[in-house]
Amino acid sequence: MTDEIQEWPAQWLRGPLALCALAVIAEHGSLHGYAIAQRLDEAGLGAIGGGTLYPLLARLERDELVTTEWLAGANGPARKVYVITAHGAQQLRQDAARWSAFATITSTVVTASQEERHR
Amino acid sequence: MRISLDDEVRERAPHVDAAWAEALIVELRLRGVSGATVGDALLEVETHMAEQGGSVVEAFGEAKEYAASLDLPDTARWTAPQVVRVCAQSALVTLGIQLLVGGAAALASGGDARIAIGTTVALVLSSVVVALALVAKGEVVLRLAVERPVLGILLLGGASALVVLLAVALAGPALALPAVPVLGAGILLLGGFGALMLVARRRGSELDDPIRFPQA
Repeated sequence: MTDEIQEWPAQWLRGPLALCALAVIAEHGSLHGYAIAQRLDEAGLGAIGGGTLYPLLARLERDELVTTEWLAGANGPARKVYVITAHGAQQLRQDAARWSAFATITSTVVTASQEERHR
Repeated sequence: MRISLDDEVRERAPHVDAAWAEALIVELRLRGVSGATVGDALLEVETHMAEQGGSVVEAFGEAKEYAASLDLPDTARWTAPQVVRVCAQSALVTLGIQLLVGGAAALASGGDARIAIGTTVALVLSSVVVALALVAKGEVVLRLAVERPVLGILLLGGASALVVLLAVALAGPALALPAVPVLGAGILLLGGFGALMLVARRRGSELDDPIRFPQA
């Protein structure tokens, strides 16, 4: 798989990327794959390649966190859009809260080690 | 008029390199992914590439690895009626060819057709075994043919030799039958097989699972 995540180490993104994709889908109601990649890039996560994004979206669909539908494009080809399900929304709420707690803990641990060094 | 798969792929996925698209299709097929899901996966790559541009390999990596990473369900599995049908078709064709060749040869030489029961049974059973092996382990057989064709040909040759040996060993006594009815039975069996295939195609219940692209 081509790893096009430039800005952040791939292993950092591997965990939260599915959650981030689910969040941007929920935020916009429905999005197609390329638009999800753009939103993630704009949010600062970096360029996510198709080889990383679509397997992740396929997993979300398999887990029934999103549904998909092909819609005719305005001026181009049809697009497969992803829509969050009720189960997906519930999962997002739970995971968002847990992720927030996790991020706070890791941030505290990492920052504390730096502060200790500067004393 | 039906257009070829290559033409349809080029038409529906013009922004995806043709060789990459073919490799993706082959790998997904080898993994037992249904025709509709293959079309869905390819068209999603197309819509992404149409917007992003550039090289599909840079965006998606190698087709084979991408196909594996999608981890799509292998829904193109055989149902019990399909297994029965493919075995029946296999037996029908093998028996039909035997009778057709035996009848035609007898008609040409002016004598009776000599049908060795043991040979016929061995050939028909072998064809059913081959059909069952393809149904059960089709992915292994196809992967061998695609990825290691020389070994595939050698194994095919070995299996064919084994069937011939079996047919000769089990030949036993031959039935002497009038040439014309034997030839007629052969034509009837092969004709019947052809008619069944046509009916299946008309009904859309043929055994193959063509790639279908999603419609918006």
